[in-house]
Amino acid sequence: MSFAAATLAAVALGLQTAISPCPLATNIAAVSFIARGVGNSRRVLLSGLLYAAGRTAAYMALALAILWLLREQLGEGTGLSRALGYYGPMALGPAMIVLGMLLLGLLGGGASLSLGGDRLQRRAAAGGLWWALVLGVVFAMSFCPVSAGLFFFALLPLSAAHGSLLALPLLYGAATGAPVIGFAFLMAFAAQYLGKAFHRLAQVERVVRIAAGVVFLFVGVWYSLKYIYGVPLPV
Amino acid sequence: MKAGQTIGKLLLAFVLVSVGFAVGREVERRKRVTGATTQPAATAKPQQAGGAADASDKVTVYYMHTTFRCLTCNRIEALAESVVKSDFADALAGGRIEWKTLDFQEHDDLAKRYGVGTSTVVVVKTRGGRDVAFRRLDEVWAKVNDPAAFSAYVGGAVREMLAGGGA
Repeated sequence: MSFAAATLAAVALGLQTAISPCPLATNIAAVSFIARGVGNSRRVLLSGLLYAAGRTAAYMALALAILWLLREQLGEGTGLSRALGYYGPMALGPAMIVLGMLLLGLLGGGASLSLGGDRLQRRAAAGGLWWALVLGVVFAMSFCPVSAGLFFFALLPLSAAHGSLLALPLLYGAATGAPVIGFAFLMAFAAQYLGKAFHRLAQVERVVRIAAGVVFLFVGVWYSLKYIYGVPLPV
Repeated sequence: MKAGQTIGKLLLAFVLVSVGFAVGREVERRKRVTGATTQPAATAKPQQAGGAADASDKVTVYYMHTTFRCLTCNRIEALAESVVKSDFADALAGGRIEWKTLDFQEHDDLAKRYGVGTSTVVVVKTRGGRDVAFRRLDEVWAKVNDPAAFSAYVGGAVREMLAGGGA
């Protein structure tokens, strides 16, 4: 396979990772997280790019660690895959519930659900763009079987075969983030358009922010039920 | 607001209970896995007792999966199983091939032996109950959306093993 074909394959693997049913729940959460900056296009754009950058950095670091540091013992990569694939989804459930609670202002003393409350607004605003980067890293590292299969057993062999420790993992990471950014933009701008058309931008912003928090709670409970309690849920 | 506080407390309780449950289950699993590795591994057991039959070659096609399944993983299992059962029906009936599924997270020894990092297909050749060759079919992940390529890949690997590959 030529290097040009390998770059296409890396992008295809990344897109496949993003749209597979198994990582879908975290992707929906990411979409809602990024789109919650509705009303501020620059914020949505930056947040989306940081999310993709976080994912890409995580995959590149892992690829480097496995292909370069452990190049003498490639088998080690599978141990890492086992560990991340096993503990990642398990830890993700509770972590996402806590994050959802933070987004909704349900954590901390005197927390309230007052939907238009200053507290929520402040939190959402102070929630910092950098959280998108952190979220990208965390979501990338919490491998479900599909993402582990595609990254460790399809992308890494491809990278190793082409001696490409950075370029192919970079393309793969960017491709895993691209659909999420696309959907987040669509959602944010559609909401913004609706809000402006009906002169209800403030309300739309509030609803999107609350929806983001609720999605995190829902996905967190879903992950906990599936990966901690073993409830045979699909996806 | 009271409703918010109550929901917050309930969610926090759920998180704490979940973390506790996960830790407890992990401790139990480690005990089980450690116990299991002291037993002879599944493939290390003689497939047939005694005599000349013991020395015969046998190919086992494993679908090794994570404890919690996923849709794509189930598809890999279904495709691989159908290749083995349709392309190798005679060998299967004659006992030269065996199809097995197992949870590799409950069989740490096998996962390490075959370098399994996520749900995958492994073709193992045994002679007299001992492994003589194995091949992990990592490309099932890249080929899962192309059933023809998937069948050719898995079928080819099994055929090669049956024909004496790696022995």
